[in-house]
Amino acid sequence: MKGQGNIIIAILFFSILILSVIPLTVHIYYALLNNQQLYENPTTRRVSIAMKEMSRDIRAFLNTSSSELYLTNIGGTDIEIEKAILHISCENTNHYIDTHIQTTIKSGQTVLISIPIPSLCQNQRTVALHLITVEGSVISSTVLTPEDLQKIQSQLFNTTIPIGISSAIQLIPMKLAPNDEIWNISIFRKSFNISTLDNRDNPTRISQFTDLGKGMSGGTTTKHIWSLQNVYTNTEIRINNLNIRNLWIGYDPRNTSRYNILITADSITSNVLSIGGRGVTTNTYTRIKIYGFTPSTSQEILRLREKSITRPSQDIADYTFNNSALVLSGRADRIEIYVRSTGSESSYNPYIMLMNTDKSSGSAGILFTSIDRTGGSYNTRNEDVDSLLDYSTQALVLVYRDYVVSNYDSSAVVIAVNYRFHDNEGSDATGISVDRPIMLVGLVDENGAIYSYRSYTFRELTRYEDTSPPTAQAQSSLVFIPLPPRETGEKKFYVFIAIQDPYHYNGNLDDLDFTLYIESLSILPIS
Amino acid sequence: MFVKGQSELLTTFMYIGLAVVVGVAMLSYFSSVLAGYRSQLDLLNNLQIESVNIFVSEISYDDRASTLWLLFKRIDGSLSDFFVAVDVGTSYLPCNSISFYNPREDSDGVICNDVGRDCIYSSSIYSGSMERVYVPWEGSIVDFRSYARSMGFTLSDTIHICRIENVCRYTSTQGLCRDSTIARIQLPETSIARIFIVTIHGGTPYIVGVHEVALG
Repeated sequence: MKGQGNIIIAILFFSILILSVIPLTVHIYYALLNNQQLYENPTTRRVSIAMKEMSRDIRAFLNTSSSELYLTNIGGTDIEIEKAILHISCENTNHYIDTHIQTTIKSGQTVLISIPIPSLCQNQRTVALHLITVEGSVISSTVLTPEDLQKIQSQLFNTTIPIGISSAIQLIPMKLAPNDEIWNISIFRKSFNISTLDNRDNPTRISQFTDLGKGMSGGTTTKHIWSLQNVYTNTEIRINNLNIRNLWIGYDPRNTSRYNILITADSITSNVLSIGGRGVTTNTYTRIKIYGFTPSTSQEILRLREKSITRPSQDIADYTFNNSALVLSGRADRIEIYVRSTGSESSYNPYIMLMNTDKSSGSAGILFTSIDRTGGSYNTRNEDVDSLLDYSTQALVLVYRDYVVSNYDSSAVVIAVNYRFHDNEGSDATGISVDRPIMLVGLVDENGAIYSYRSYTFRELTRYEDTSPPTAQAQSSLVFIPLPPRETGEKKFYVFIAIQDPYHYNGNLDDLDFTLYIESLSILPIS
Repeated sequence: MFVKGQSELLTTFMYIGLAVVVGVAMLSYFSSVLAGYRSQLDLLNNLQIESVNIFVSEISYDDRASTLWLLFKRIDGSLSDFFVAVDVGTSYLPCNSISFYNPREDSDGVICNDVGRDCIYSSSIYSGSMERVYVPWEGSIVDFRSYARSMGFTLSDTIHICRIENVCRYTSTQGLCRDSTIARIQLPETSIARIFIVTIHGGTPYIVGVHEVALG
């Protein structure tokens, strides 16, 4: 039995040894075997920016005037957009704009998105759109603008028979978005370059308007201007029997359930005007500009001469030369109080209001008025007060940059302008010693040289208005401008409109002020 | 003097003792190998997950400002940050050349025009020798210098690894992070930019992805 004991011990020993060693050996073997495939190389991807493919899935068109982006999904699958970045190019810099667009565009669908595009430079161009999908991929697309389409058309014309363009391009009314700051004339930069004339009577060139804080002046021996005294925003306003001189009213183009109102008064005595519950007074001539006014009652907007006004009149002179009590109550987006004070020059802001009289949403006509008080005649001082005589130190010129008039596209161009005019010169043409242009419409070339224009002088404009009773008839004018022949090489032009008050005073002559409302301005290119 | 029975008993104890010693030694070795193997598996998993989890896409290259705009997105929807090193052909960019867009502080819609608010610089998490950065390569882990030499990437005394914060930390997203992070990389004059995607495991940086962008 001794031998059996040794055998058992030997078996026990080898069992323990084998149980310890074999699994370990097997494990090490497989671990080493697998180790060959344990780590994968880093993921690598190589792309070239120059060769980066522009997507064929999205087609983007930007209406630069209305800031509306049209996106068409021409791919076969729906695209869920997490973010959209607009690439805007200025002269020397690029900017990337977060548009906060989050939407899904179904295959084949076109969506229209209103996007606020900040004004970054004078000649900014929207060049590309980068759509970031929820999956994290980037779809880039060139953004076509009306100007691009025109260029494409122009290139086509070089190789094919010219095609007549039958549609009109509308410059005014201006397209506005709900949040546009329409109280500042820099809003014109949405579609126009703001410029001025080299000569107010016989202009030959258009140049940059260097300081928008200037342009208008007034008074006689002592210069007087409209100075902004106070601004109130999103507030309640009550006017209780304020004796006003003039009132102009139109729909707020940003929201046509509201109104834009311009009021002139000799002063604001106590207890007649309260803004935000606080009384407001002035002791001199005053202009009140009210934007986005919502009346407290739906029955009327305001009461003038104890008569309810329930809608803006298309005749913008209807509420001129009142000298009567105004009653008004409601809320306003913004109220500006201007007072007449000594000073050499002011901006055009006190004189201009964007509005419309036909309740078309998002479309703004341009109202300019230098009338502050009352009329006059050839032998009396207009406004009755020297300090209220206004005049332009520089014409305000708006050059439409979104449409290029090319002699390769067109043989001629027709510019159509609809307007209303009213002045405070009771003697009409005999109240002036010299006839001067008040409005000019024409073409300017790429270098700022005026190619051709039509001027609207005081004598012409005053024929179709009545100073008192105040009447501003609707006027329309077509300006036909032939373009240089194609054989002379390509010439490019831009349409401009200029407005100015060229009359200061000359004794009791040439002392007129006026109201001009530009309802529309359109280009009709002719092939 | 041992009698025969005593001698056999002693032999038996010696056998058993030897077997126990060998067994315990094997067991401890086995345990240590297993622990090492597990940590290797953890590293392997982490590297594999991160290499497929982080998605990089180029948005645009602004050649006027020499700025590369990239999109970073985590497929797993986690709030973890992104770690990158950028090779510009001659050196690795410092972290103040890399910034990211925080839409929450953007007041004017223009991306990254207000440094410190809507544009935040990345922060440095490692700045030092390439030899202390590792890469999984051909089945094993090698140091980044050896890898870069083999691949023809830039060799430099110092590599900077930068943290680009996940934008979901700044947005009010609840649940999984869906937002993409937009990064701006200010490049010197170069024809190439290599973006190395880095993950940190046990305090050690590992490169899991290379995104090479040929410019111009």
